[in-house]
Amino acid sequence: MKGVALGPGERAWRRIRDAVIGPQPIERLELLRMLLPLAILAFLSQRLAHADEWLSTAGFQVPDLGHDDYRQPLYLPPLPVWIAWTFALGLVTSGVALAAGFMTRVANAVFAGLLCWCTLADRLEAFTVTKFGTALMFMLLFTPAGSRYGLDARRRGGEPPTHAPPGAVQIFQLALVVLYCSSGVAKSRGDWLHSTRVIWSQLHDSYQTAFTYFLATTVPGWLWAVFQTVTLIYECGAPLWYALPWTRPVAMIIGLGMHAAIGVMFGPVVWFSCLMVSLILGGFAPVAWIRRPLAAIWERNG
Amino acid sequence: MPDVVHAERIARPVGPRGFRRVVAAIGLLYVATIFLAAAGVRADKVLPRPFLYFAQIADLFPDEATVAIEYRAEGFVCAEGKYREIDERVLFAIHRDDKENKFFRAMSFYHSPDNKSDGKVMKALADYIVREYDKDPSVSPIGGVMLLSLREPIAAPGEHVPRFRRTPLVEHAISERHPWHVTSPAAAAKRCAELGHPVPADTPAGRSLP
Repeated sequence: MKGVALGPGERAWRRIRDAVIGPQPIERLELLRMLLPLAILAFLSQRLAHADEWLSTAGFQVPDLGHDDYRQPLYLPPLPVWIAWTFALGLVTSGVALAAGFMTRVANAVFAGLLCWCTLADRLEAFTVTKFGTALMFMLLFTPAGSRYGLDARRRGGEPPTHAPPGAVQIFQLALVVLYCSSGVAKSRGDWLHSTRVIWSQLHDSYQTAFTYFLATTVPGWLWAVFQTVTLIYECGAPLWYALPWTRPVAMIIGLGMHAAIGVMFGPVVWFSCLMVSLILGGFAPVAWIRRPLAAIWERNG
Repeated sequence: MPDVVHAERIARPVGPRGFRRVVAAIGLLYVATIFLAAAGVRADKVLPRPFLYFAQIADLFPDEATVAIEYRAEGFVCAEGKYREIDERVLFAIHRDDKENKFFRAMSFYHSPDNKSDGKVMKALADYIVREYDKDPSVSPIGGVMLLSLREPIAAPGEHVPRFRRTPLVEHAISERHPWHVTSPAAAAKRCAELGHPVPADTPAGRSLP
């Protein structure tokens, strides 16, 4: 049966509708399911290696500050040492299982729950990666992640799904662009519109890497102001840059470049960069880029 | 790309339609809260604080730093009756050499002497450092600590930039050091006495904040 030819207006409307409320290629969701928990685990690796100091009575923990302190929204007492180590083991096991698509729903629930606990319990070790990561893992829990490209899917066999249901991918895309835009707004409310030295001023403390030092001593001073302007424009306009098909490739290049730079210039912030890169790739990379490696890994023999 | 997606190839959504709508609403509320928190809208009267906490994530490097800050500790060495710099990093193994370690974070968040909660955290931190430091039999015991910040001016763009490295406190001008918390002299003297190192009568066991 031949389809009816659509006019340009109708085609544009369908593309918008499909992008906002239509099913999305399952590869996007499955890539997010694989990469996000690994980025979070990598961020947590130093904490996991010292789980006793991180979460137990053996390390320094902020005492109960009552209900008045905004920095402690909920007091969770430190754990006994052996439970802290069990907790760390649970985080690693569930995170890896989730990435591998093994008992996906259970692994996802356990990983999200444990992440939520440790982020609330230790304000000192809570960062954007763990706060945002917790939310992302709960978002993932309510999607059919693990339907394809994973151990569960392999065991199930049969015809694999090609698409994720409406909303399952879009919530991650929305979270990414809103985080960027919000960060741009916060920067605009701070010093970014009044000073050209904000990025420059962050190059001098313990986050400094050998590469940062190299750049700080070789890049002309005015170029830092250019980086700052590009970053602010990219972040404030992210919803627009990623929504429009003709600006999306440029936005992706700038975003990936920015996070690569952050990763090599600010030491431990590399894992935040990995989280954001995972969201950019899973949310917006051309599906062919994602499908080929996923199929090569998971469906070689299928 | 096909215009039509066959329904049977769409992965099955999680839960019934009503449940999915509630979940979607919570997800959208979370995303909106990220934006509102960054825009300075106070929603703590409306939304649960733990929910807000997870949404306060977008304030990433909003301000220009005027100084590079480090936090350090000096211990009141009982045998000598005076303060000396101690290497607090041995007690905070997570990210021991950068500002993601717990000592730096605790000092950064809770150092204000005018805030009651901060005072409680600083005291707990000081007690922890003294207790854990004295567990090492190879060190001379301490009875108290002074917790302080080091504030080094930042060069202007294009000027010479020093490579960051940890340098002893004594190499820094007094004007770069700012004490935030110190164990009371009485508490330091008491602990030293308990450890078998009574502080000589003519030595003030500690300092006060300026």
